[in-house]
Amino acid sequence: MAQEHSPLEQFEIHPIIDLSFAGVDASFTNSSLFMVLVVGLLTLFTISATRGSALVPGRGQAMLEMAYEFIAAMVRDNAGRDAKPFFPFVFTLFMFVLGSNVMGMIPGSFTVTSHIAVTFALAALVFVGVTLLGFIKNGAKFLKLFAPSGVPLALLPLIILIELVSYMSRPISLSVRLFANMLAGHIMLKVFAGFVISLGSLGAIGVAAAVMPFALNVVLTGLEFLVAFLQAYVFAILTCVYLHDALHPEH
Amino acid sequence: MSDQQQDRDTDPDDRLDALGRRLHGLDRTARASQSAQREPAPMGRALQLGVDIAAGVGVGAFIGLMLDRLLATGPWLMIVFLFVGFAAGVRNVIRRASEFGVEDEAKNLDIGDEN
Repeated sequence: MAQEHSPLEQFEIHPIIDLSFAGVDASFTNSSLFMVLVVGLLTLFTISATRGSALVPGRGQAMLEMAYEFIAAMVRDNAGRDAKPFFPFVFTLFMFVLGSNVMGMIPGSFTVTSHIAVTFALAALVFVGVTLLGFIKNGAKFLKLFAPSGVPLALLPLIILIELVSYMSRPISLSVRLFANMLAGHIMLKVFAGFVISLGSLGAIGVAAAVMPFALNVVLTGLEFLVAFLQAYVFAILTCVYLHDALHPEH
Repeated sequence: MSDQQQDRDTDPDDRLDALGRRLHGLDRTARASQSAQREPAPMGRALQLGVDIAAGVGVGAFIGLMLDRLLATGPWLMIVFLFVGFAAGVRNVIRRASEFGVEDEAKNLDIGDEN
């Protein structure tokens, strides 16, 4: 029984509606369905939570205000006060990543952020946006980011090369971190759940032994919720750090 | 004269300012205890650093391969850029680690202020 279901099955993409534009496969897949679902639910949540806008907030409003204050403080502390116009962007990014991570914790659902195609698209958006912003705000002065002050002239070409590669590695580390954490966590949950099934079919001793992976799975589920939040937090905070670099390249 | 009457006599702006100061103080203590809880575990930090160094090496190797293909210079540029990528990865890690250091320092200062 256990052999028929691979722990990787949960990451398979199935087209729901076949579409193609100019020879490019643009089918509406289960991944797209869950992205639409996440965005829809988040929109519904924010609109319904702010509709009353009571002085003494209810549950939903208190939750949303907490998220708002959390991201507002993050943008202020990590990107600087002049980064305020980018708060909506960081907030949207954080809510989408957190929403998809938490949505993936529902058994039988699809984790959008466990695919590098999705996380790299988000990271590339941040990377291209921040680079353009740096050049628009600072012009050629943005290139100072690659040449730290106080470096001997002889070492400068090497340092610039290293800084350039370091800058290019940003979207890779940003996207790989999120995708690898979600992928590894969900595989781990499935593998231990598989142990429970295969041990349980071995009779009384097997059932007694199956308690261990089951208990571990309970603990891992809690850990996965922590990871879901932590990875969304890391994604948002790194976006703030990059925004800071684009606005103040001299530091 | 009771306390309330005194409140009524003073300028509303002054009272608002005093309230603002008190709220600010409460906010700071709340945030100090919150940031202590929110701090990622040491293992989480270490894993993040691993991704940083791997990304540097990977990007370096990729740039080297592409340049090699463009200039037909054998494996040499890939080897050079592998080392440059490694250096960039180390640079990433140093930058991140120094951010951690600054965070810890800021927290210590904050707690010191409260006393």
